[in-house]
Amino acid sequence: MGSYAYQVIVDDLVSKISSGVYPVGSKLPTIESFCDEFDVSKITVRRAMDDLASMGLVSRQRGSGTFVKSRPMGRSDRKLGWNLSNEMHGFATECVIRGMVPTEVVNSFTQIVPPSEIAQALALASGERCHRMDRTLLADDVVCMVEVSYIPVQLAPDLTARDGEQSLFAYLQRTSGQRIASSYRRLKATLPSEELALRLGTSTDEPVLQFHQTSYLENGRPIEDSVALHAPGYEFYTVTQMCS
Amino acid sequence: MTKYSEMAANLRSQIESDRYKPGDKLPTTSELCTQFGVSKITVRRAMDELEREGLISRRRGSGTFVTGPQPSAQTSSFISSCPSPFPADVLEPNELSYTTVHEFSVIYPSARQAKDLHIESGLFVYSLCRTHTKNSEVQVVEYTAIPMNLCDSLRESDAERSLMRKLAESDGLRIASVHQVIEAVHPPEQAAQLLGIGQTASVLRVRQVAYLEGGRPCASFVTYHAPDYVFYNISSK
Repeated sequence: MGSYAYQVIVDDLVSKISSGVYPVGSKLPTIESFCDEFDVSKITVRRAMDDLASMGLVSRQRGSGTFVKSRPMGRSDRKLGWNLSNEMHGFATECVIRGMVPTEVVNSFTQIVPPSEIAQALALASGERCHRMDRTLLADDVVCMVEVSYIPVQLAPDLTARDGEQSLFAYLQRTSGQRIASSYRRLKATLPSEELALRLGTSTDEPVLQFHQTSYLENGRPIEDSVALHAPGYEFYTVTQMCS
Repeated sequence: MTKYSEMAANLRSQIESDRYKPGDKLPTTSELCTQFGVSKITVRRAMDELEREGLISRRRGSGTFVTGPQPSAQTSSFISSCPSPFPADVLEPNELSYTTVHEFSVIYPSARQAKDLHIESGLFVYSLCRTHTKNSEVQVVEYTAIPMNLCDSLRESDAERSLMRKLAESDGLRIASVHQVIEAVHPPEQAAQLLGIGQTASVLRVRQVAYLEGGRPCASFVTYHAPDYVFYNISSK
């Protein structure tokens, strides 16, 4: 991530919307005045507006202008959990963005021939092995989630438990030389087993969110299939733009 | 104007006019040298400027690409909240799949509803409680609030079908986006009863606000889903 001009504009506007300088419901200055203020071209400003719109912060009305729709969800708005918008970051980056310190503890790490539905999700040949990494992820020393990840050995032949203690997401991007470009998630509500309840610091009768996630590289190849259980209180935030 | 800023301006206007769309690969350095009749250094300087502005991204070994949200990303975001953020939109009403209205009234909004809808608590809202049944099983219990000043002719019969379609067709209100917050919770008493489960169950609760073009909120929902309901989501960059 470099210091692009449009990123600077996005950051500046996010903080102004957050602090109420541009209150919810208000109309933002015109593209021309942002061009003057930041000394950039129109298209750069428009790209920044695209980002803000896809974050759900502003809404554009043809002919009328751009309006502030909602404030960014801050950490103070939430209890333990946080918000995951339609973005692709790993756990460690999500923490850092929110000013929290991530810790990733590996509980077990093996290589196995996975069950058929995981082999299918990862497009593995029959009998092909994958890594199985079971971790507990914490933010500011509070348990956030327990996650079991399956990764094809072929795509990460040198993966070690040690790598799981840093950002697994970043490791996979470095090793494959591609970004993790998309993620398909299935969310369910469930109750944790005794073992998982213990690890999450909760009880077997507290509802928890279960994420089954398959992530794909830029070339469409599946790189990871994981099932994660989040600590109670976790909220998943998503913005859907309706096609017109 | 210098050669490189002239070239940058040229490319910038091509990107602006969608001659090169987000995700498109730009010609190689040598191709651009030939095309513009300039040296490699000039090309590189022009690219530096466009990259600084965030318009392009250079990837070693792959090439130079135009940045920006790709149309497919937005489309898959819509397809993802499977099948639709609005349960009543999906149902082909028949004997086994239909919407039942349990409550329909005009009341003052709760503090939370007033906040989500950006209205004062002294303004009325339509308040609905509906269940959506699929294959003879209640899948979703939905509580909806719509400000009365947005739609003054909502009838109970409208509530048995897609509200969003009704608002679009007779009131000209088109939903541009929906914000959703999803959690796992114990269902409250009425929702549990309507779903036919106990209050110790673990269910998905989705709190949603639908916005019109221009950012005005037009409806707020809280939905409780049957215990084995799966919510789909796709993120892509």
